[in-house]
Amino acid sequence: MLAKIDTCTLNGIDGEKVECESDISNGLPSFSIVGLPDAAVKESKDRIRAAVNNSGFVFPVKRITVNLSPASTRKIGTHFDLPIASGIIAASKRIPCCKFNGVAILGELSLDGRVNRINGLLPMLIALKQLGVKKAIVPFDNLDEAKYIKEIKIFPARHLAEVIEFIEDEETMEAMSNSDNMDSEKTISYDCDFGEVYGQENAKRAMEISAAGNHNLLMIGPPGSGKTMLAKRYPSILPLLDESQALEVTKIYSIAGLMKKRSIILERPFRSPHHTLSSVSLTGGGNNPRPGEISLANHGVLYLDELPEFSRKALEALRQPLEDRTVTITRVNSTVTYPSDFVLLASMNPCPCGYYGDSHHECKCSIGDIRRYMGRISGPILDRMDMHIEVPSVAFDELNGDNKHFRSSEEIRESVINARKRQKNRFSNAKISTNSEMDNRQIKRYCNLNEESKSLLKTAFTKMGLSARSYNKIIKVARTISDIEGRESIETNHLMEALSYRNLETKYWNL
Amino acid sequence: MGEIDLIMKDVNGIYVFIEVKKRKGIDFGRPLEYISTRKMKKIIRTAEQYIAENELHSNDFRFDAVEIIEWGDGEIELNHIENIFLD
Repeated sequence: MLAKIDTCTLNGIDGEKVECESDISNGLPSFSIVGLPDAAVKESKDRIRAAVNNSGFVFPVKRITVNLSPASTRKIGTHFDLPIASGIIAASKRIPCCKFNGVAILGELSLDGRVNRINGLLPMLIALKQLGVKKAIVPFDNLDEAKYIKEIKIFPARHLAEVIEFIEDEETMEAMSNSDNMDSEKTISYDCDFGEVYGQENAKRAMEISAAGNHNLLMIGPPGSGKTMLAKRYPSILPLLDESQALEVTKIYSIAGLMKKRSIILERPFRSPHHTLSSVSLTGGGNNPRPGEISLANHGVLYLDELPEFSRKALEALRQPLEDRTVTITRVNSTVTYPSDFVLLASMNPCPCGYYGDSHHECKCSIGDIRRYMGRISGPILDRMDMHIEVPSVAFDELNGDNKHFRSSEEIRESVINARKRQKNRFSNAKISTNSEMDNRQIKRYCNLNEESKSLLKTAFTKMGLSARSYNKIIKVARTISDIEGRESIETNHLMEALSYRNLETKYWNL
Repeated sequence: MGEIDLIMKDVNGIYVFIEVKKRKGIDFGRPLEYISTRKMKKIIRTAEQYIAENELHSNDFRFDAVEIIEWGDGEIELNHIENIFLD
């Protein structure tokens, strides 16, 4: 007797339909799963046997063969438990195959037959939706993730017995009412605000520009000056994700198993990994590739505190993803591409003791120490940072002033959103949405400089020894500054401000 | 090849291959514990040969075990375990 059930597997962030065929025949009792199952799928044998027996069914003492087709793609994950168990019970109870038509089943089993939550439900449902599947049985615990899929009737399952009842008679289970609750969650409150930061107006301005145009930002300053405090408030000035971005971010979090009880992620991710992380956990990898920090920061912010403390290997691994906005991980088993479109926010001290250039403390480092310390940030990484700013220590009077005149996160966010709107309108025909994504042709087209600016840039180029990349980056930053002011053309003062965010290289790196 | 202690047919027509183990007391473990993976593999191989020789391929099969413990006072304990097969 044969049973066929539709289910799904993941390849990168995209799902792929899998047919789970269970055959029960006479012969020596055995239970084998074929179709390139991964270790976790092979383990499911023991879970399934116990779950079936503990749910009031009899595990057949027969020759059982389960095939996961297409048999050539590797199957990863624990969500095959439920379709395999349902298939075995259905085949042993002789439930006709037509009962499963168009129903996809996903879920992990507990030994007592309960259905546990799984990772990567959202991307799998999206794939099934595109393949025209109309009904799906999913774990009850994952319900929040499934809410957003309107095209598929979702049946939440708590127990294996429930699923079998459903297959025998569809009336027994009630479909979840699919509600698009993206709007109801659109207000997100942040527990910190730029209005609370005393002083550092220059840094706040730089963050506004960085947020408006997706420009990478490097902060250099002595300990305790507020670099981390500022960085923590950075997400509060970013606009919410739009629909397609939210789906992409949620897909990645779903695969990484970081969804908890959320339905869809609307706020921009802010990842601040500790500096001991390895290059693999940064870019993603492993035998069966998993997304790394840069993919978890997709459409959001990757904040690297104490930049020189990160291993050189990890930092250099950032180079290609920063340019391409995707990362391709190749392993023996598979090749996957994850998106990695993030803003790199970094902070560091100017020297090992932390006080080089500070007005209140004496620096105890030798020139050699400083050179070695700054040398940990290689030229190519530095070149990819659009803006470098100094975050000096704060004076006493600034700390004790009143904060009424400081701009709140909400005000800054408003200006960021307006600047982003201007960019989106400008690039409506192109495939990009922010200034930092412009290529050479688009820079030529959208960033016209007047004669004065051109000669200024020429002088700066030779005097500051700029690379072609940093030259382009300066123009892009100037474009963003003009967008924040709501201007169509790039004025000389915009360019001058953009140039001012590049002059630290000479101060700290060319000692 | 090997030997199978008992080959029987149950009420549903399933062929049952039975391994019988007997011990005096349980000082060195219960008799069932003496059925090793190697022993099980041997039983399966022998069963396969029996099935082939008698052309029983279209039937159902099961592997059972019976343990017999002879206690010091002469009392005999008998346990029958169905479907010992675990792969």
